[in-house]
Amino acid sequence: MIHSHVRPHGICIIRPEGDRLTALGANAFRQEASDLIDAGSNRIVIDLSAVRFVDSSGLGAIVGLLKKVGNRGEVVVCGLGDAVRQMFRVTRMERVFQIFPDADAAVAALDG
Amino acid sequence: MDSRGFHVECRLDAVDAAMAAVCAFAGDALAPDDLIRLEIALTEALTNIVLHGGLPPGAGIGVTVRKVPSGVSVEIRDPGRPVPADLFQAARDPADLDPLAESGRGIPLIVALSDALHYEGRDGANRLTLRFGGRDA
Repeated sequence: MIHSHVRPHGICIIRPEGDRLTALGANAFRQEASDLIDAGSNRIVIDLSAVRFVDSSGLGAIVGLLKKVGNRGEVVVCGLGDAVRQMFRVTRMERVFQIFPDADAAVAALDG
Repeated sequence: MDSRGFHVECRLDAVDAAMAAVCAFAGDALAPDDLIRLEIALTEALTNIVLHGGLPPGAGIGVTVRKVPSGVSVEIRDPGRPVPADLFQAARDPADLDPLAESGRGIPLIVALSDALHYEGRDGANRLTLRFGGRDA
């Protein structure tokens, strides 16, 4: 359900599988990403560049990961398309997450 | 007036499949931002029915999409439990919810993102009508 890639300095990039992160796959996404956190990843970039649409369940899963990491690390998002950005805007997630244009920009910020 | 009906099985994968078909049909009748609002609100409505609607075994959800002069009207019919009378009127603005809540945004999103909403539950059927389009940018 996810593809993950660890960059230097332990920054983990997580890419959900498929172009929709909805109730259908949100629990699996949350569980697999949560397993990565349990394994020690706590600087996480959620790359949504291939995800065209996120519903409230997908959003809840992303928020859940932020809460799981807590103050032990950081969770940021990148690659928001129009529909995902509108969902983030209407739910004020722009105040909760740092948002970057792409994974390289997110990694550079976390590594800075 | 152009319209099309869709039958959605009471499964989450059927919701995703139906949304692709609905958006393909409605896409030429709405501005891009309005189509996104439709996709979010209708996805939330259908998902709520699948997860919480209490539909009888084998029952499905009916969706009729109508292209109207000012945009698109979507009627959703299901034979599940009626929703509380004030469910939609009492919905809070999604922006006012706890930003760290992991659930509870579905109904607020449906209300906030539709330009008109009408719900009727009677004779064992729920009928939710949402309209999109005509909102000032």
